[in-house]
Parts: sequence; structure tokens; C-alpha cells
Amino acid sequence: MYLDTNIIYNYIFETELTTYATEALSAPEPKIISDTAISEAIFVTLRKLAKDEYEINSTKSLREALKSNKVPPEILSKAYSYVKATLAFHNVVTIPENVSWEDTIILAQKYHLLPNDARILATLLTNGADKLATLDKDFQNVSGVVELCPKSFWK
Amino acid sequence: MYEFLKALPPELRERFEVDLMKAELEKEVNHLIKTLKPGFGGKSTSKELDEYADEVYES
Repeated sequence: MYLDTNIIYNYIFETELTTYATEALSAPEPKIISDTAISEAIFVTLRKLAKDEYEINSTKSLREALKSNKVPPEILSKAYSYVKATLAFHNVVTIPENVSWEDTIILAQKYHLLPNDARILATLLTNGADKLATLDKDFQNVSGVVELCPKSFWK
Repeated sequence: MYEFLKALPPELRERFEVDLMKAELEKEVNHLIKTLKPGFGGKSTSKELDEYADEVYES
């Protein structure tokens, strides 16, 4: 089962979807993720921490605040640690993204996805996974190709 | 924090610093794992977090 970005950030932060994220992460089956989803999860966590702790309201402001040390660089390791701890605690394995951009774009066109979402789908299919844990309705179109989880969210 | 590093030649110091930073990261992760539970990062809404995820495409 491949874990999409939103599973990770809805587990780290308490939202109305945290129960679903916890359900996916607690599933007994093998769980995988790849760099595209990890990168997005680190970014969202960083953005949220910067908002809460330093009232940073945009990516542009965050970039400038990091450059000028208004936000200390340690916030980056904090965001990374939150994501890494979540993955390690739930025995999530990081798999390589051995997919071509051509395959990614073809999937994006076929299922009306944004490039990162299509890359996640391509990675999942290339590695023989048959389930996608996501809380993103953009993936609704792929329900015929992979099983969408958690079931309680997609029923 | 690691005063002894200042005494090292720059090349060697840089290598030690990277190793020490990696060790610090690992320590931070291991510390978090001990008390990990859903929502450990604080409160939010899925809407807020989804908006930040969308910024990946806007930045």
C-alpha cells in the first residue's frame, strides 16, 4: 500500500481527517512511500510550523525568512524529523522512483492528475502495489486501477 | 556546541560537522518516536494543510 502525502500530514497535525490517516498508517500490510510524497510532506510540515511559530503566511515569505535567518534553520530539521519519525514508527519503507517522466505525463493525461500525483501513481504501479492510501479526491478517477484506502474514507 | 571542531582543518571540520548534524537528526527522530501519537505536531484543518500542499505548485 502506497501512502500519499496527505496521510502523513493529517497524522502529524490533528485535523478532522486524522482518524483516517491513523487507520491507513496502522494497517497491518506492508506500507511504501517515495521521494515525491516525502518531499511534499516535509514542505507542508515546514510551512505549518513556520506559520504557527513565526507567523509566516506564504512560501515567498518563508523563503525570505530562511534566507535572512528570521526563521532559524533548525525548523528544517524539525519538519524533517516529524515526517521521518512518522514513517519510521509505522514501518513505512521508502522505495525508489524508477519511473520515466513520459510515463508520468501519460498517466497525468489519462487520469486528469497533476504531475506529482501522476508520478506517485506511476511509482506505485511500477512497484506492483495495488492500494493507494490517500485522502485526496483528485485520485477518484484511478479507483479502477488501484484500490483506494482507507475504506472508511472512500466508502 | 562542539568547540573542538574549531581546532580542525576546514576540510576535516566540515566532514565532522555533517556527520554530527546527521547524528543530531537521528537523535531527534528517535526521541520523537518514543512518544509519537496522532496529532503530535499540533492542531490544524485539512483545508489549511491542503492549501500548503497546493503551494508546491505555486512556488
